[in-house]
Amino acid sequence: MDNLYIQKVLNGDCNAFSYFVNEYRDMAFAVAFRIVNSREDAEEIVQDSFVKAFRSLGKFRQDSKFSTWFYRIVINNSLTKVQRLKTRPDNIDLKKAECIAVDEIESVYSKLSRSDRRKHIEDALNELNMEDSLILTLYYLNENTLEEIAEMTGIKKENLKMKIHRTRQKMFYLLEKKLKSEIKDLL
Amino acid sequence: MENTKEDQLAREVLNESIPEWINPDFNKILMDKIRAESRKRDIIRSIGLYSTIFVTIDAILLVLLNLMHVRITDISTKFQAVLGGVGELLANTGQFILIYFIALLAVILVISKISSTNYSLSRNK
Repeated sequence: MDNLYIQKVLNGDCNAFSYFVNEYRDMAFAVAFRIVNSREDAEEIVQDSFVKAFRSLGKFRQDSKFSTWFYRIVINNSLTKVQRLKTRPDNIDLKKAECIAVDEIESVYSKLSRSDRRKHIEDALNELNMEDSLILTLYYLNENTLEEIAEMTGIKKENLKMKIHRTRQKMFYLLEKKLKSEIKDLL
Repeated sequence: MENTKEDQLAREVLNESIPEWINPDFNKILMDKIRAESRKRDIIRSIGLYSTIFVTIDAILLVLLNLMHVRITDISTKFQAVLGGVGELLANTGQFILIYFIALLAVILVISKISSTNYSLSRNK
Protein backbone atom coordinates (compact mmCIF):
# COMPACT_ATOMS: atom_id res chain seq x y z
CA MET A 1 0.00 0.00 0.00
CA ASP A 2 2.83 2.39 0.95
CA ASN A 3 4.54 1.82 -2.40
CA LEU A 4 1.37 2.69 -4.31
CA TYR A 5 1.10 6.05 -2.53
CA ILE A 6 4.83 6.70 -2.91
CA GLN A 7 4.39 6.32 -6.67
CA LYS A 8 1.36 8.63 -6.63
CA VAL A 9 3.33 11.33 -4.77
CA LEU A 10 6.32 10.91 -7.06
CA ASN A 11 4.00 11.30 -10.06
CA GLY A 12 3.01 14.75 -8.78
CA ASP A 13 -0.10 14.02 -6.70
CA CYS A 14 0.90 15.80 -3.49
CA ASN A 15 -2.54 15.17 -1.92
CA ALA A 16 -1.70 11.45 -1.86
CA PHE A 17 0.85 12.30 0.84
CA SER A 18 -2.05 12.68 3.31
CA TYR A 19 -2.17 8.86 3.39
CA PHE A 20 1.26 8.84 5.11
CA VAL A 21 0.23 11.66 7.46
CA ASN A 22 -2.88 9.75 8.61
CA GLU A 23 -1.05 6.44 8.81
CA TYR A 24 2.14 7.42 10.67
CA ARG A 25 1.56 10.68 12.52
CA ASP A 26 0.51 9.17 15.87
CA MET A 27 3.42 6.77 16.10
CA ALA A 28 5.84 9.44 14.92
CA PHE A 29 4.47 11.70 17.64
CA ALA A 30 4.93 8.98 20.29
CA VAL A 31 8.51 8.36 19.14
CA ALA A 32 9.41 12.08 19.11
CA PHE A 33 7.72 12.61 22.48
CA ARG A 34 9.78 9.79 24.06
CA ILE A 35 12.95 11.65 23.07
CA VAL A 36 12.12 15.33 23.59
CA ASN A 37 9.52 14.86 26.36
CA SER A 38 7.52 17.91 25.25
CA ARG A 39 4.30 17.77 23.24
CA GLU A 40 4.93 21.13 21.54
CA ASP A 41 8.42 20.12 20.42
CA ALA A 42 7.21 16.66 19.38
CA GLU A 43 4.49 18.19 17.15
CA GLU A 44 7.02 20.51 15.55
CA ILE A 45 9.43 17.63 14.96
CA VAL A 46 6.72 15.45 13.39
CA GLN A 47 5.73 18.29 11.07
CA ASP A 48 9.34 18.94 10.00
CA SER A 49 9.92 15.22 9.53
CA PHE A 50 6.93 14.88 7.19
CA VAL A 51 8.09 17.86 5.11
CA LYS A 52 11.61 16.40 4.99
CA ALA A 53 10.21 13.00 3.98
CA PHE A 54 8.16 14.63 1.21
CA ARG A 55 11.23 16.47 -0.09
CA SER A 56 13.44 13.38 -0.13
CA LEU A 57 10.85 10.78 -1.16
CA GLY A 58 12.57 10.55 -4.55
CA LYS A 59 15.76 9.43 -2.80
CA PHE A 60 13.96 6.68 -0.83
CA ARG A 61 15.31 3.45 -2.36
CA GLN A 62 12.49 1.26 -1.03
CA ASP A 63 14.90 -1.44 0.19
CA SER A 64 13.39 -0.97 3.66
CA LYS A 65 9.85 -0.17 4.79
CA PHE A 66 8.68 3.42 4.45
CA SER A 67 7.92 3.46 8.20
CA THR A 68 11.51 2.47 9.10
CA TRP A 69 12.91 5.18 6.85
CA PHE A 70 10.45 7.77 8.14
CA TYR A 71 10.94 6.98 11.85
CA ARG A 72 14.68 7.26 11.27
CA ILE A 73 14.05 10.85 10.09
CA VAL A 74 11.86 11.49 13.17
CA ILE A 75 14.53 10.09 15.51
CA ASN A 76 17.29 12.13 13.84
CA ASN A 77 15.23 15.33 14.04
CA SER A 78 14.40 14.65 17.69
CA LEU A 79 18.05 14.01 18.51
CA THR A 80 19.04 17.25 16.81
CA LYS A 81 16.57 18.98 19.14
CA VAL A 82 17.96 17.43 22.32
CA GLN A 83 21.56 17.40 20.99
CA ARG A 84 22.11 13.72 21.73
CA LEU A 85 20.47 10.61 23.12
CA LYS A 86 20.81 10.99 26.88
CA THR A 87 21.79 7.72 28.48
CA ARG A 88 22.02 8.84 32.09
CA PRO A 89 22.10 5.97 34.63
CA ASP A 90 18.59 5.32 35.91
CA ASN A 91 19.61 3.91 39.35
CA ILE A 92 17.32 0.91 39.00
CA ASP A 93 18.38 -2.28 40.75
CA LEU A 94 18.30 -4.84 37.94
CA LYS A 95 18.17 -7.80 40.34
CA LYS A 96 15.04 -6.44 41.97
CA ALA A 97 13.57 -5.55 38.60
CA GLU A 98 14.03 -9.13 37.35
CA CYS A 99 11.93 -10.50 40.25
CA ILE A 100 8.84 -8.43 39.54
CA ALA A 101 5.57 -10.37 39.55
CA VAL A 102 3.52 -9.27 36.56
CA ASP A 103 0.24 -10.61 38.00
CA GLU A 104 0.48 -8.28 40.96
CA ILE A 105 1.00 -5.23 38.73
CA GLU A 106 -1.82 -6.32 36.45
CA SER A 107 -4.34 -6.64 39.29
CA VAL A 108 -3.50 -3.25 40.81
CA TYR A 109 -3.25 -1.65 37.39
CA SER A 110 -6.74 -2.74 36.37
CA LYS A 111 -8.25 -1.25 39.55
CA LEU A 112 -7.05 2.28 38.77
CA SER A 113 -8.89 4.84 36.68
CA ARG A 114 -7.58 5.56 33.19
CA SER A 115 -6.21 8.96 34.15
CA ASP A 116 -4.37 7.54 37.18
CA ARG A 117 -2.93 4.72 35.12
CA ARG A 118 -1.78 7.22 32.51
CA LYS A 119 -0.13 9.42 35.11
CA HIS A 120 1.81 6.53 36.68
CA ILE A 121 2.86 5.13 33.32
CA GLU A 122 4.06 8.58 32.26
CA ASP A 123 6.04 8.97 35.51
CA ALA A 124 7.58 5.51 35.16
CA LEU A 125 8.60 6.12 31.53
CA ASN A 126 10.09 9.47 32.46
CA GLU A 127 12.30 7.77 35.03
CA LEU A 128 13.70 5.44 32.41
CA ASN A 129 16.50 6.85 30.34
CA MET A 130 15.59 8.21 26.92
CA GLU A 131 17.10 5.38 24.89
CA ASP A 132 15.26 2.74 26.94
CA SER A 133 11.86 4.35 26.66
CA LEU A 134 12.41 4.90 22.92
CA ILE A 135 13.26 1.22 22.40
CA LEU A 136 10.16 0.12 24.32
CA THR A 137 7.98 2.47 22.26
CA LEU A 138 9.41 1.20 18.99
CA TYR A 139 9.14 -2.46 19.98
CA TYR A 140 5.79 -2.63 21.74
CA LEU A 141 3.88 0.35 20.41
CA ASN A 142 5.12 0.50 16.85
CA GLU A 143 5.62 -3.27 16.73
CA ASN A 144 8.88 -2.83 14.84
CA THR A 145 11.13 -5.85 14.41
CA LEU A 146 14.57 -6.00 16.02
CA GLU A 147 16.18 -5.43 12.59
CA GLU A 148 14.10 -2.29 12.06
CA ILE A 149 14.87 -0.94 15.54
CA ALA A 150 18.57 -1.61 14.96
CA GLU A 151 18.38 0.30 11.66
CA MET A 152 16.50 3.19 13.24
CA THR A 153 18.54 3.60 16.42
CA GLY A 154 21.95 2.33 15.40
CA ILE A 155 22.00 -0.14 18.33
CA LYS A 156 23.37 -3.59 17.47
CA LYS A 157 20.63 -6.14 16.83
CA GLU A 158 22.37 -8.77 19.00
CA ASN A 159 22.15 -6.48 22.04
CA LEU A 160 18.59 -5.38 21.44
CA LYS A 161 16.70 -8.46 22.62
CA MET A 162 18.38 -8.43 26.02
CA LYS A 163 18.05 -4.66 26.24
CA ILE A 164 14.31 -4.81 25.55
CA HIS A 165 13.86 -7.52 28.19
CA ARG A 166 15.79 -5.55 30.82
CA THR A 167 14.09 -2.27 29.99
CA ARG A 168 10.66 -3.89 30.18
CA GLN A 169 11.48 -5.27 33.63
CA LYS A 170 12.78 -1.87 34.71
CA MET A 171 9.51 -0.31 33.58
CA PHE A 172 7.50 -2.91 35.54
CA TYR A 173 9.67 -2.27 38.59
CA LEU A 174 9.07 1.48 38.44
CA LEU A 175 5.40 0.95 37.75
CA GLU A 176 5.08 -1.41 40.70
CA LYS A 177 6.66 1.20 42.98
CA LYS A 178 4.20 3.85 41.78
CA LEU A 179 1.21 1.54 42.00
CA LYS A 180 2.13 0.33 45.50
CA SER A 181 2.23 3.87 46.81
CA GLU A 182 -1.11 4.51 45.08
CA ILE A 183 -2.69 1.47 46.79
CA LYS A 184 -1.29 2.59 50.16
CA ASP A 185 -2.90 5.99 49.58
CA LEU A 186 -6.21 4.35 48.75
CA LEU A 187 -6.13 2.24 51.90
CA MET B 1 7.54 -10.70 18.24
CA GLU B 2 7.06 -12.72 21.41
CA ASN B 3 3.71 -12.64 23.15
CA THR B 4 4.24 -13.61 26.77
CA LYS B 5 2.16 -12.21 29.60
CA GLU B 6 4.91 -9.63 30.19
CA ASP B 7 4.82 -8.60 26.54
CA GLN B 8 1.06 -8.20 26.61
CA LEU B 9 1.16 -6.05 29.74
CA ALA B 10 4.02 -3.96 28.34
CA ARG B 11 2.01 -3.38 25.15
CA GLU B 12 -1.08 -2.42 27.15
CA VAL B 13 0.92 -0.08 29.38
CA LEU B 14 2.65 1.62 26.45
CA ASN B 15 -0.64 2.00 24.59
CA GLU B 16 -1.90 4.04 27.52
CA SER B 17 1.18 6.25 27.33
CA ILE B 18 0.47 7.68 23.86
CA PRO B 19 0.44 11.46 24.34
CA GLU B 20 -2.50 13.52 23.13
CA TRP B 21 -2.09 16.02 20.31
CA ILE B 22 -2.24 19.73 21.12
CA ASN B 23 -3.08 21.08 17.70
CA PRO B 24 -6.36 19.72 16.28
CA ASP B 25 -5.58 21.24 12.84
CA PHE B 26 -2.24 19.48 12.57
CA ASN B 27 -3.13 17.55 9.39
CA LYS B 28 -4.54 20.63 7.63
CA ILE B 29 -1.51 22.79 8.48
CA LEU B 30 0.88 20.04 7.45
CA MET B 31 -0.88 19.36 4.14
CA ASP B 32 -0.86 23.11 3.36
CA LYS B 33 2.92 23.06 3.91
CA ILE B 34 3.25 20.00 1.66
CA ARG B 35 1.21 21.69 -1.10
CA ALA B 36 3.33 24.86 -0.82
CA GLU B 37 6.45 22.70 -1.03
CA SER B 38 5.05 20.94 -4.10
CA ARG B 39 4.25 24.28 -5.81
CA LYS B 40 7.77 25.55 -5.04
CA ARG B 41 9.22 22.41 -6.60
CA ASP B 42 6.99 22.80 -9.68
CA ILE B 43 8.11 26.41 -10.14
CA ILE B 44 11.80 25.47 -9.85
CA ARG B 45 11.25 22.64 -12.34
CA SER B 46 9.45 24.97 -14.79
CA ILE B 47 12.22 27.57 -14.56
CA GLY B 48 14.80 24.87 -15.24
CA LEU B 49 12.78 23.47 -18.14
CA TYR B 50 12.13 26.84 -19.82
CA SER B 51 15.75 27.94 -19.36
CA THR B 52 16.92 24.72 -21.01
CA ILE B 53 14.48 25.20 -23.93
CA PHE B 54 15.54 28.86 -24.33
CA VAL B 55 19.27 28.05 -24.33
CA THR B 56 18.76 25.11 -26.71
CA ILE B 57 16.75 27.21 -29.20
CA ASP B 58 19.41 29.93 -29.04
CA ALA B 59 22.16 27.43 -29.70
CA ILE B 60 20.24 25.93 -32.64
CA LEU B 61 19.65 29.42 -34.09
CA LEU B 62 23.32 30.29 -33.76
CA VAL B 63 24.32 27.10 -35.54
CA LEU B 64 21.76 27.70 -38.33
CA LEU B 65 22.90 31.31 -38.80
CA ASN B 66 26.47 30.15 -38.91
CA LEU B 67 25.57 27.57 -41.54
CA MET B 68 23.82 30.27 -43.58
CA HIS B 69 27.01 32.41 -43.29
CA VAL B 70 25.15 35.11 -41.42
CA ARG B 71 27.55 36.84 -39.06
CA ILE B 72 25.73 37.61 -35.88
CA THR B 73 28.32 40.23 -34.82
CA ASP B 74 27.60 42.36 -37.94
CA ILE B 75 23.88 42.20 -37.32
CA SER B 76 24.28 43.07 -33.67
CA THR B 77 26.52 46.07 -34.54
CA LYS B 78 23.92 47.36 -36.98
CA PHE B 79 21.14 46.73 -34.52
CA GLN B 80 23.10 48.51 -31.83
CA ALA B 81 23.58 51.52 -34.09
CA VAL B 82 19.82 51.63 -34.82
CA LEU B 83 19.01 51.31 -31.14
CA GLY B 84 21.55 54.06 -30.34
CA GLY B 85 19.85 56.40 -32.86
CA VAL B 86 16.42 55.66 -31.43
CA GLY B 87 17.77 56.16 -27.92
CA GLU B 88 19.27 59.54 -28.81
CA LEU B 89 16.00 60.64 -30.36
CA LEU B 90 14.09 59.55 -27.26
CA ALA B 91 16.55 61.34 -24.99
CA ASN B 92 16.22 64.57 -26.99
CA THR B 93 12.42 64.33 -26.93
CA GLY B 94 12.48 63.70 -23.20
CA GLN B 95 14.73 66.67 -22.61
CA PHE B 96 12.45 68.88 -24.72
CA ILE B 97 9.36 67.70 -22.80
CA LEU B 98 11.11 68.39 -19.49
CA ILE B 99 12.15 71.93 -20.47
CA TYR B 100 8.67 72.63 -21.85
CA PHE B 101 7.06 71.34 -18.63
CA ILE B 102 9.30 73.50 -16.38
CA ALA B 103 8.58 76.58 -18.53
CA LEU B 104 4.84 75.88 -18.35
CA LEU B 105 5.03 75.54 -14.60
CA ALA B 106 6.88 78.86 -14.31
CA VAL B 107 4.28 80.65 -16.48
CA ILE B 108 1.42 79.22 -14.43
CA LEU B 109 3.09 80.34 -11.20
CA VAL B 110 3.68 83.89 -12.50
CA ILE B 111 0.08 84.19 -13.79
CA SER B 112 -1.39 82.96 -10.51
CA LYS B 113 0.83 85.36 -8.54
CA ILE B 114 -0.22 88.36 -10.72
CA SER B 115 -3.90 87.49 -10.54
CA SER B 116 -3.85 87.11 -6.73
CA THR B 117 -2.05 90.48 -6.36
CA ASN B 118 -4.65 92.21 -8.59
CA TYR B 119 -7.48 90.67 -6.59
CA SER B 120 -6.13 91.91 -3.23
CA LEU B 121 -5.49 95.45 -4.64
CA SER B 122 -9.07 95.73 -5.94
CA ARG B 123 -10.45 94.64 -2.53
CA ASN B 124 -8.32 97.29 -0.72
CA LYS B 125 -9.76 100.01 -2.92
